[in-house]
Amino acid sequence: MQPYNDIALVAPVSLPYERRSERSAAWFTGTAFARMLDRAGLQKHDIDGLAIASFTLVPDSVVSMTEYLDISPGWLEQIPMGGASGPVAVRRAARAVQAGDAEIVACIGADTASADTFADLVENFSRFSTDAVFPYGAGGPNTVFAMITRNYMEKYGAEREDFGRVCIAQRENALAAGTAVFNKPLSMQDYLAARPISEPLHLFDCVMPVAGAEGFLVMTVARAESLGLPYARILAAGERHNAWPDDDVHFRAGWSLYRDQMYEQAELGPGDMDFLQTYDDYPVISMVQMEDLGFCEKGGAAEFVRTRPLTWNGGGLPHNTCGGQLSAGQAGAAGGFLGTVEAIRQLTETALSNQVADARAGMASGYGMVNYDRCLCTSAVILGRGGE
Amino acid sequence: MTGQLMPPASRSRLWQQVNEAAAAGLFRLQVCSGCGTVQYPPQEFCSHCLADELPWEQVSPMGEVLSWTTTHASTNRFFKGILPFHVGMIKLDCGPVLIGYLVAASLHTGSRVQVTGMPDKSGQTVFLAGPPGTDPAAEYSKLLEE
Ligand SMILES: [Zn+2]
Repeated sequence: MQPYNDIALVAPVSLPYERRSERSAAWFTGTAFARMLDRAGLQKHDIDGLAIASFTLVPDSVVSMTEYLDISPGWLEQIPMGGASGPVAVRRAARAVQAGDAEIVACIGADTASADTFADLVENFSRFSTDAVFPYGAGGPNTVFAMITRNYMEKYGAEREDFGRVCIAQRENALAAGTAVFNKPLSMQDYLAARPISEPLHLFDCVMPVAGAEGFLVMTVARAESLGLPYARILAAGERHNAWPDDDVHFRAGWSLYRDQMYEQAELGPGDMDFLQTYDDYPVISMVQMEDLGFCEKGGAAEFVRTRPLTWNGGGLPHNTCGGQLSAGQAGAAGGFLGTVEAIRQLTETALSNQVADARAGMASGYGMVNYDRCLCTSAVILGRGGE
Repeated sequence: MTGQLMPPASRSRLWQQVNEAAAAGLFRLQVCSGCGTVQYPPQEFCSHCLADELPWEQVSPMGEVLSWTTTHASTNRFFKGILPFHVGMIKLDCGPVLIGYLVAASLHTGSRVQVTGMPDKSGQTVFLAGPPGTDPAAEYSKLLEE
């Protein structure tokens, strides 16, 4: 795989999440776009590429956004990969800039949330789901991931407390960042006593649907430096979809198939990562990422989280340093950008009071799209601090 | 709004075949003419050999519980009225993994179960699973068509 030399990720932007919004996904997209321009000191016509991930932008698309924004880009991409869309956007945009198809690409994940959007989205998520999952309680992903979680617990001996450790550390990170929808500390007692949603999942294992947007700009390192912008570099990236299709119950995913190649390309190992941003739709999936991305052996994540601090300043593996979706809520496809945007903030020293000291390299991964009994899309990036 | 609440009624066009089999008291799934792969959920070509002839044939309704959940929350008003209930992932002896309602007696990984298709209150078939030779409908009377 060709390296991603000389590509810069700049202007990480997160709009504050809202529990409910009357505004459309187009507003969230446009507002994130404006914020990114502002951050980078660019004009909108400087942007000649636009990549968007959104569930609720329909009936509009990335095409409609060009008219709303009144720009005339020469490169467009819509990424229908939900929680995997952030690292995938990095890959697509980086190749476009390397090839000269675009000079500056704005990558945005954005979704709104009203009383009906989440229920509508779940009901019509895929044809397999409409026929063969939704009629069993309309629970959406909770039903499937409850069963994935139980299987994981039985297979590897993970306990509810292990998932609790992931959630509690993320809440501590969220409190340091000061941006979460959930803004009270979470104790193990609170975690264990929470009401059941779909056993073994309880309230704090599930993400709250919210409205929000996340985005960043992709350009050459030369351009970022001439603009005087702090940037992160892409050291490696990968994606794999519908991996391990013969596993009856999902317990591993595509990351396991390309992580070695990524570490080789980055000339770094898991021990060199100053943080890890996983896709945390459920804590079990964060633990599967710790395993499949090589931070511990397969089945070893429970032991890993028992012994390794996961907070931003705990001296272990800083994990989901802004609190992740388990604290911030899940803003649709923006949730697929959250980890990537936080990784860029950490590597450009623009995080809030949750800045990991001397962060030089880190990983962000994505996971999305429950078609039937698991999510099919996986993606990951290793990023490094710019100018090194 | 008045009137009886209903479970979701939307299904793909292919689901009509599932309804017809259930009405006849049969457990029929798509079986590929080319390679014999049994397909579930229904689709229009074989995921293994890509042939597009998939006649609906009677297959074994027996299987094994892979995992299960007890649901205590739903955004849907009909389902709120029947909480809590149990859902399982069942590895059918004929190949595919099927998600279905599970009776309380089968809430164990590895349980042998028999799957039966029955119309729910929307008239669409749902699958229920329980110990072989028993009738899983009794536990789900609030869900099923009278
Ligand atoms: Zn076939």
